[in-house]
Amino acid sequence: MKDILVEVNNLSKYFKLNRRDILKAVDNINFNIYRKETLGIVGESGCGKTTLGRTILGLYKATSGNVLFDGLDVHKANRNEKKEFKKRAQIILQDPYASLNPRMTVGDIITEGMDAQRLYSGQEKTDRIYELLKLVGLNQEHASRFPHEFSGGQRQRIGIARTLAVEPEFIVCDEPISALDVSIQAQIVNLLMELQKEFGLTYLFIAHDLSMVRHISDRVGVMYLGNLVELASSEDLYDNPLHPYTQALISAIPSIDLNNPMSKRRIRMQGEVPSPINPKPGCRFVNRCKYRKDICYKETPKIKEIQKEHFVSCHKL
Amino acid sequence: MESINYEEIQFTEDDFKKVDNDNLDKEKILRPSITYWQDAWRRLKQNKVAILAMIILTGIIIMCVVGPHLTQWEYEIGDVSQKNQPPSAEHWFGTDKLGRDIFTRIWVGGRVSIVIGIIGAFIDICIGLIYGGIAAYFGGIVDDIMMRIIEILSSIPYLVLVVLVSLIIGKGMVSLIVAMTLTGWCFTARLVRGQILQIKGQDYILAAQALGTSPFKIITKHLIPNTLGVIIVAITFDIPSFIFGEAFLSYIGLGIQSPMTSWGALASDAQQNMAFYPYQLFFPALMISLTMLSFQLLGDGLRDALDPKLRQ
Amino acid sequence: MIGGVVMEEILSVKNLSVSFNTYAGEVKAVRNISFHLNVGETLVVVGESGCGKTVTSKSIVRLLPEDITNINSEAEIIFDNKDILKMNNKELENLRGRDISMIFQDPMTYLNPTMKIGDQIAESLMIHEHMEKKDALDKTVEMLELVKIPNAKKRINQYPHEFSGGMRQRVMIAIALACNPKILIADEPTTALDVTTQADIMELIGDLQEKLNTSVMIITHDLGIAAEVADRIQVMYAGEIIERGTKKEIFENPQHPYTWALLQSVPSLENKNKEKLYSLGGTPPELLAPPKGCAFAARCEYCMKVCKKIKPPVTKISDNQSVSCWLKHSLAPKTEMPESLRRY
Repeated sequence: MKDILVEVNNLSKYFKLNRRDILKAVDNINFNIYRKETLGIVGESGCGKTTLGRTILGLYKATSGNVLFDGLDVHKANRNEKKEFKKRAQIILQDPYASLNPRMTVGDIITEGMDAQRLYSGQEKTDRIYELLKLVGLNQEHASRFPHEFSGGQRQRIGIARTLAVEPEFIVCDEPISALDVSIQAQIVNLLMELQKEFGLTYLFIAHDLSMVRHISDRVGVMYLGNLVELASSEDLYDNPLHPYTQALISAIPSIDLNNPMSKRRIRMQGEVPSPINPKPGCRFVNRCKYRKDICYKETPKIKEIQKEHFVSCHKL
Repeated sequence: MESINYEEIQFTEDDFKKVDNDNLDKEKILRPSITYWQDAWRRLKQNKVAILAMIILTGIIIMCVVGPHLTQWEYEIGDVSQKNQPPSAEHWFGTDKLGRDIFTRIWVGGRVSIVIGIIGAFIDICIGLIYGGIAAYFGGIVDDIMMRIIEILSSIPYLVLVVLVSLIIGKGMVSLIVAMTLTGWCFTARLVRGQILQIKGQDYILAAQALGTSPFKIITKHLIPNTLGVIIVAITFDIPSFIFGEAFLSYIGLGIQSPMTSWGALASDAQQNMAFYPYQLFFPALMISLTMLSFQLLGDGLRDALDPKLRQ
Repeated sequence: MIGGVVMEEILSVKNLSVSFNTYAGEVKAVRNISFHLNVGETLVVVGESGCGKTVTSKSIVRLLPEDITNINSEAEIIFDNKDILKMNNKELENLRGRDISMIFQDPMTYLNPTMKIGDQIAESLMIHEHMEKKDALDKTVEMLELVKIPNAKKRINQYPHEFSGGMRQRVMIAIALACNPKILIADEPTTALDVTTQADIMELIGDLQEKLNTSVMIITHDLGIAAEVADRIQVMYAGEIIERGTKKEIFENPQHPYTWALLQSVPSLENKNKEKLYSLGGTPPELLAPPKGCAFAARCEYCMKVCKKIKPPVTKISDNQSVSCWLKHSLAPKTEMPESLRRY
């Protein structure tokens, strides 16, 4: 039995926009994250993956369902438990230009978490800052500089150093590479994988770049409009996608293999992405799916294990 | 761009030997480190009008301090035989209806006007900052209630309030300041709230919350430093409105009382004899206008210099 | 010549150098580059952020801030037998939008949020083609249908915020192509979009190009896009073009170590193992004081002594392919491209 670190049970997060409209950003999601694994979550903008990550960390309150971190119910925790939780579970954010306070030096940014958790002081703290900078590939002299003097990739590394400063076990990586060049993405992904090996970290890696996600993840989950539609090992998902949405998504990944141009393999979806506000009952993908049947309009498909460790939520199967 | 003539160069085998690249060069930053304030100061310096305004203001403030000592006249003692004299070598700005030297009185009055401006603006900012900050930080129903209170306060007619306060407390500098700040802070509170709401949405606030930073620390280390720009500009615009407010109220008799004087009081005194002795009104009016204009031009310059979006 | 067909040049950039005056000094963003664009082809300019690709594209239509930009006097940008750099404002106004159109990365900031979509497209038609409003709106509906926006007749009365990201990008394409320009410059047109929308947009640009015979110049940092749509590719680094060639040449026979590095950092869908992705350490050099020799020397694993001292000359590999690298010199050790790239 693999060691489960995070349990997500029937988790929903709704936002009430006004008297009539409810935005169902995350709707009844179930999955587990095992210790030391990287679980990737992919989906297009508006699918709710960012909301999912933040709700798991308790940054948003859950509307229903729960999240258990090593047995602790994240949303029902008391103050001390919350503090302890924040030391063990952290987040890396997407926008390297907005995630650092422009008025603070790099050194101060990195120690913010350390101070909040009261981890080190004095010379030890300074040593730790330099250690962390070195770990992410930056220099000692960078500690006294300001965020605007760095490139996007460097800023993202500063953000990673800040997160590592509190020595977490579990990190939600919320689109950490989306704002970076492809060559810099490789740098950051390598860094994250190295750190995972060295410190035994567990990642929830949220992204919309499918090729990078496949590389870093052990298992990958696909989200569409607040629902988890497929979950499998990364190899299985990309070699053998079962949900029509996943199939369309994967066919759209640009490839540098000239023998496999997209024009030959592209699976197109009909229509446009519907709104997550006041969704109709039934499968959310129904209006874009070419396999749709009557039942798809009425009942939301339950997630089933179709093949070994390969879960899909679709009436076709 | 000089072009290289490759034909001329003698190459050897040694030139094409492999070199080991050390990692130090890879992450070097060449530009000198520059803080936000240094950058803002640099931008401000380029704005000639703002610098001119600063020089004028410095000049006025220096004169307010040393001016009265430059002449042998006391501000409150007048020689009635010398009353209503036009500007001359003895009395540089002339004398008023009680024979008092206007030059001296202008600078003493200036002290009062400017101090009221600064104290008033300072109180405004302090209250506005705390009030707006709390409303913005907590949001939700706290914000709703606090904003409704501000709306009610702002709708009270300014003059009515001033008259009431002066009836209760009496007239004079303290009463003036109390009356003006009683509702004046509403504007700053709204300004601060707007700025903080904007910052609150930034990712680094979310990161701070995720790291476990206490709300107090978030407010002091993140929200306030990034609001300082807006606050400084607000102060710079607030001061002239207090100076004008004081001038106006003293003019109608509700402010500074004799023998204490201010620019507004001086203008008020001079008003009756305006047609005969225009210089008596001219100098206080000039000082009020010049000071207000300079503060506003400086405020404009500061706003441009401190606005991060304009940074290239 | 590409594939035996003689290509006609429509745009020619010669000896372009662009620098900016900043508080820290002069930043030399683009350093003596020359290239051309052929009629009906898609040229993809690839490179990291800061390599000068956006500055290059903006200087073609002269969209750089005049007060801090310096363009060297020997530079020429020839379009239709005229030098764009010497055009006056009136000629530039006629050029932009009508002969050369540009689309940008973030469609939300480039569309006027207070103007209806239909009006924004019609505006271009009325200014350049001198159409009457009614005719312009008819053509607008045509354009929206061309870019595959459903319910075009109804949607011309909607505002930008009522469209999704992908749709807004299509609207931008519609505006850009409304006057049927000869050249379309697309600066990172899909970077902010999801992968399926990206695929749709690239397909759309390809279709429209065929239909209207537009010459397209795409700026991107994503080699995947280059692989899908390019005819020719040029790779930029630190303000210079370090390699160029046809798509086939660049992907099957790349010559420059930087190109190798770029190709290796793309995780391939066939690569099964979870090993480290190839990644170049460090960051590109600061252009305040560009390095003396080859700009890439500090990060290059094949760096030789001469690389740090003298800039490499341009070596022609074929009609279309050329590279600037000392590895091509007769005295340099024979170097093969990395194993993992040899797939063809």
